Amino acid sequence: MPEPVTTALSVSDGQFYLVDPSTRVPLLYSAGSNGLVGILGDGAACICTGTLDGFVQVAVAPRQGPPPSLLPGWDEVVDIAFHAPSGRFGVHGGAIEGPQLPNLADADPGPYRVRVHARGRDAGLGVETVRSASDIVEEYLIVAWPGNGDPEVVHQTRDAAGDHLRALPPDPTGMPPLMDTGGAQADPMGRKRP
Amino acid sequence: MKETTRRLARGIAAGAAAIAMVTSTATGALATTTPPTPSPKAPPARTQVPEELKAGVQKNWRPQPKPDQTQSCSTVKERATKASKTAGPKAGLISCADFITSPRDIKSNIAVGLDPDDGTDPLPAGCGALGSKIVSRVVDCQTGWVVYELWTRPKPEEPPKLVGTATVQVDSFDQLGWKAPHFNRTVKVKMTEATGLATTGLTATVNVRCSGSKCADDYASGGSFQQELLLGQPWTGFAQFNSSPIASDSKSDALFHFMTTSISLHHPLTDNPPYVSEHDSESIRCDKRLPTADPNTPNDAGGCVFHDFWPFYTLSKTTGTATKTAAHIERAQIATANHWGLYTGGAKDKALNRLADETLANKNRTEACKAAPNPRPTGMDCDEYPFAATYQGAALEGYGDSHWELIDFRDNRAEGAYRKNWYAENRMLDGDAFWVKIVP
Repeated sequence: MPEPVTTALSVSDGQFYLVDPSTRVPLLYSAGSNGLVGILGDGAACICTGTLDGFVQVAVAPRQGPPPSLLPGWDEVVDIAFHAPSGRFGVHGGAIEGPQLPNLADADPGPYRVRVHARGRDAGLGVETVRSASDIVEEYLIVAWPGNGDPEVVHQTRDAAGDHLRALPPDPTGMPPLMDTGGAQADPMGRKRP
Repeated sequence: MKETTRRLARGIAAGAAAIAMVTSTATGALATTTPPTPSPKAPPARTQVPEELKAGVQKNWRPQPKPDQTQSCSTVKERATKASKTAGPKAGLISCADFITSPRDIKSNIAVGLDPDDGTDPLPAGCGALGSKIVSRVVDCQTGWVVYELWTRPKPEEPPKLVGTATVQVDSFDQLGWKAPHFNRTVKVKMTEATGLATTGLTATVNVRCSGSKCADDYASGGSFQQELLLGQPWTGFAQFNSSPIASDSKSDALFHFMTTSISLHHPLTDNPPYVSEHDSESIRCDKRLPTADPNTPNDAGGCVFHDFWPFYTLSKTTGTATKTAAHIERAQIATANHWGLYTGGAKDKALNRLADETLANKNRTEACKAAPNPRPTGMDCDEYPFAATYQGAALEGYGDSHWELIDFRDNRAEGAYRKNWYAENRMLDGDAFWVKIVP
């Protein structure tokens, strides 16, 4: 397995995303039912951090196949099915100036398997804000390989942040539409009448 | 004609110039004597712009094109009468209405083909109200009327006689693409009243043009380009335009446009030029977010909004995933002296203005939460209001007049992500104003 590429990622509102740049899905807050990562739609997933605003450490590792074994030392580990319509996806922190992290898709457009590892989220919740990379308290490792759409597998759950999120999972579908069209059947693309 | 001018001027002053109204001396019945001065019959009365719109939601109203006095009904008839005294009278009729024109920087013009109206226009509720205006950040609708008259040509010792009248209702419905830089206008034309010789033969030609930088024709309906109007039968036309904003993080790179409808009416029994009235859309702003250094940032195709419309950011206290944050905002709006973001229609209402600078937003957040327990209690975030990402944040205009509470972190973060997407979809650029509305 090649060495993961690691960076200090700036997050806001306690979340970052796995994103295929072609996605049109709004990047909203979701932890699914596993307390760590929620699929938002094709090409978009949300990963919930403990830190509210500022830096977390993220390592990514694209692979040709599944890792041979589960890595020890992580608080939360979940495998999800992620669909990458354009054949490219990666970590997106939401900030305007994001770091250069490698493409996690090592094959064609289609389904991928993504294993998300997290540790230190409870510490991140306590400090809330991390303004310097040297003060980072939580880490992520994201490993991806070509998948087949298998259902999610929860390998490890042992942080309080996850317990809180699993107890009452935030459901982004309960929010109103982002654009108020005043009751009109307006087309977001501004095209000919629907 | 002075009456016409005043009426129009009042409409503009009230922000209600939904369409360049054409007024006349029509009586609704055939006249046997000349009424060259304005008569009491005016186009249907228009509802004034709701106070809510005038006071706060939309701050700037585009002035409508000024009427060309030389083409008004009274002027046309006066000229014709004078001409008849010095030269032999021509045969045929003369027509008149008020003529609106305003030469501007026209970038694109589409002759709209009129199709039979199928009655399925997606007009939102409220669009049917007389003179209604902007509905949302991406939808606008307007109603107005042209009153058209046919007169006999004056002869010596024989003043002109009114031999036909028609009232033509013009509905416009504008839609902007907020996820792609296209915008369009649907125009519905319907003769709602006709008398005498105007009951047949009156034809309408509709053009919609786009003004402002870098807009181009994209699509127009392909029906009849000169359509005879029949009483009670509506016709619709449709025009669509493209904008081409460059990708930029600077507000100054946004492009501004507006659409103008030109309605031309002509009757075959007349030999003077068709009469044209025009009306403008509200100002349209199109922008495109910069692709960031992060190759995983979702692409922005650009989009357009009515930037003068100040939208409501609405949260529910009972529905969705940000109910606790909504309840806090409601308490904060009450507790702060400026009642930040609360819309009441009063002169002292203070809207919020979006702040794009993340460093300043961090300072706002730090200042607002400086008194909150540190570390936070388990499962809690410090939630601040006014929002850190506004110019009313605690380190800026809201210094000394902000509010914080400890909120369940799930709720606070769900709201933060939702609002970030709301800013993006509503294309709220730095400084853009909005209201915050909490609903049950």
